[in-house]
Amino acid sequence: MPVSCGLCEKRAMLKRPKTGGALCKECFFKVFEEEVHQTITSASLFKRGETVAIAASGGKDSTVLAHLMKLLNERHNYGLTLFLLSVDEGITGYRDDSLETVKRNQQQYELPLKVVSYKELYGWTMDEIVRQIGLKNNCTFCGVFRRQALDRGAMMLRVDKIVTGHNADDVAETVIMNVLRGDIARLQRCTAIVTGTEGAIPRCKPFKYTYEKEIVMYAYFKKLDYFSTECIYSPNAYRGHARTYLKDLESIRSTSIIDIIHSGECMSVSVKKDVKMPTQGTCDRCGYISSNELCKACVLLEGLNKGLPKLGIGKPHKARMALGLANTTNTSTTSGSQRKEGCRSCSCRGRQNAVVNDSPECKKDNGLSSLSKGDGDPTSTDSSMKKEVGSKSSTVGVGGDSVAACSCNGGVQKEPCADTVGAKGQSVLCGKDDENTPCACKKGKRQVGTRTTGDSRAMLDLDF
Amino acid sequence: MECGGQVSEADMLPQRLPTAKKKNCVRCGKAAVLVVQTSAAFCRECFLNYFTHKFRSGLGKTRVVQPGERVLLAFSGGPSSAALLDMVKRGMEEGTQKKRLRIEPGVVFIDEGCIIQGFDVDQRQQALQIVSKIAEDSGFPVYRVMLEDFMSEHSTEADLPVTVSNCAETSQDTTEDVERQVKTLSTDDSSADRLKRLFEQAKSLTAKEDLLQMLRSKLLVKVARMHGYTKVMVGDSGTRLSVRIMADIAQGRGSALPLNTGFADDRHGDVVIVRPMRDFIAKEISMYNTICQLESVFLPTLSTRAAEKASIGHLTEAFISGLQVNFPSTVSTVFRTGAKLCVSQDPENMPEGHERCAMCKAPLDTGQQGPLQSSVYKTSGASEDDNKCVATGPEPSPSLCHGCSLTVADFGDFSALSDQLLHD
Repeated sequence: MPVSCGLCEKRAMLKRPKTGGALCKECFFKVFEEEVHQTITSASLFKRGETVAIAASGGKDSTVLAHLMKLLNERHNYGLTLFLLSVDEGITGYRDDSLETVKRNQQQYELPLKVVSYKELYGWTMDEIVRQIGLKNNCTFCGVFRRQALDRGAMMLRVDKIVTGHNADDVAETVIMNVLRGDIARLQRCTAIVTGTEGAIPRCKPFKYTYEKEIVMYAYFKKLDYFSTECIYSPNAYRGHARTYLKDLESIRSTSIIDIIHSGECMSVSVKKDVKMPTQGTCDRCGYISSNELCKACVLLEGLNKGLPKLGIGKPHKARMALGLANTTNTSTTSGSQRKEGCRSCSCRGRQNAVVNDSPECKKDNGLSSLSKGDGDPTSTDSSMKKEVGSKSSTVGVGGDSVAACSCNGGVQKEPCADTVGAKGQSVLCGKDDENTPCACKKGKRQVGTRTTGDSRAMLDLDF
Repeated sequence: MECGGQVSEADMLPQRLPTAKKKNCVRCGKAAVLVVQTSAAFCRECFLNYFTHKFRSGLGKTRVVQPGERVLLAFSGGPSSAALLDMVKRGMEEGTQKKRLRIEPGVVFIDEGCIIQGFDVDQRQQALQIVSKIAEDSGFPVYRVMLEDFMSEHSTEADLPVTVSNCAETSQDTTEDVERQVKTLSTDDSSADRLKRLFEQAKSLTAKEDLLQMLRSKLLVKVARMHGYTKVMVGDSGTRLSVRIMADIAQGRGSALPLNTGFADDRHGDVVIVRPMRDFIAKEISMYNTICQLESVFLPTLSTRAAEKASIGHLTEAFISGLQVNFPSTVSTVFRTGAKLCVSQDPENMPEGHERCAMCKAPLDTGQQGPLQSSVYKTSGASEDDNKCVATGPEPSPSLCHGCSLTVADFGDFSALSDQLLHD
């Protein structure tokens, strides 16, 4: 006997992932759109007359987002001016295809489109970056750059808000990740529906309570035009564990995703008062938001331009922080190549052309080591990497800053990590599984830290 | 090479020489026997010192347990509680006048046999005997309680069928006691049967485990109250608590996290549940047990031998344990994250009038539900049929927290238990 729709008498076409109820197509559309509308209105995301940039990558989330924003804007008369904002990282075979989708979206939804590219903003495309640094840690670069790119594009368009297509699965995954990583600062922020503080353009997530499965269903049944391939540079990463766990949870109990978000919201107000948190400032060089002297993008760029790709990758070091924030990344690297005997967990290990400072001790793990596929370093296991994360989180305030990873390095730097919640661009543009191993920030960005590189160890990791 | 290619010397991967050097204890320099937390190698004595010191400083630092206090030790038979028992015993014997652990302990064991199906009764009886023996070896008074006693109407000490035994009894008596316990199952039909039926009603194993957890702690508190104990010590290890943290988050119990997994759980008012073993991971505890040759017994529980995705708790345990293998700091990191949380003092989150969840007694978190609830599209007018569309989640009862309402929704008829649960 055919099951009939729960809301009307027609025959049911699908089972709703969120609640398991059976619905017909039209009712599903209605329910879906209505819920997003409820989310927007109850959280008061927009005000009349605002200009809003929709972060569009051509993937399913941003396509449905663009479609819905336009639809709801007209249906409920939000009074918003909408733009499409897309970021071109310069990944051939992936981004250029998805950009085509965005261009088609522009025509379909009749929204003005702006594309910002890494080449314009930074002088590097992702392809070039990957050629320099290899297949590991490239997601760090992509993520950090994209966040800034989105912000800069939004500033160029002079919009009031950015909306990203982060869905419930993303937020739940982020909560799990932040708990696993011990990142209490991010844990506080990640469930907020609007992120961004003074000085930055706020980013909203209207899909915060929308299941990914429902977005896919909506796009499929509405026959929306979207691009559905993973970024070609996405390796297996730590976030994959959280993702698998989340998917398993969803199969046990379908409300789990919402429950996790609920838990996250409750936890964000119940942090002990005496826990250290990072403070926000601005970058000395570009004026962007940063919790260190230089923002992460500037650090990474510097590394790229000087041929030290590992600059900015890796973990901070307590001693470094204690020494003070000295922007001596490159200047101090030439001061000698002593490496501590027996120090096996740092980038200074095994370097022929070690550009390392003399350091009293070098305990820091080379963040890469966790990714390195057994290149003979017994201590460079994920364990030590993880251990560092755990032990550092309270002092470093992993949430937003980074300190020089290894005391063998020159300077201590603090930069904001790749991103907090806002850069949805990540999963939308680059595929969900594009993380490196443990990083405190969202989307698996590499744990912040400065590290002088150009060591042979880094070369060892370039196993294509 | 099998594929027929030529292998030259240069192609061979460099052989890694096995590290022949033995590690030395980081404290005293002697030969080490074990490694703790991937880095520190200890010899036997130093490890024992480290372990005991951690336990005592954990207790002393928080100043939760006062000297002379009556403390009930919850003993489940497992390695953590066996270690707890041993440490308390030694803590009371050793040390100077000032440092000695001065409490008046008792041991309580909850027999959860009535809801565990499918396990050999004889094996269970044997296991119970071992449990009794270990408990009595400690020399403290032992209280044996059945889980279904929670269901019964007993309100005074005289009525509660708790068998008390102390060190004076011989092992003969204890066997009879245990047999009597098992037989009382058949005579005290109503409570056990009611409980069994209630558990069978549950639609999901997750809800069952959640309820069991709740019943367990409530029963512990009940027994403690009845016999004048002001503290209950449970042997939850750091690993178990980390799993609990993740599982609670997954079930929407984020607001009760500091209570469920913190050092002291004071939601029941007069009786405080304390978790002194939280600083230890399961591996350390089993190392300690091996070195001290402590006996422990495994009693099957609801999710024993269940599939990995049978329940949220079971899945989370597999998840955390799996991660711990490759990332040995997982447990401590999750644990530390949980430790940074405290009970929310935010008055905006608490709806008027109701402050505590009726079931789990944790602070209510329904104040946060605003945008969440509005986002779930309600379909009224749907028929009662379960197969039809139910577009909403569980109806949030005003007096239950989010996690408890999920559990209650999974049980059909809760009336059998509701009186007891909501009473306490």
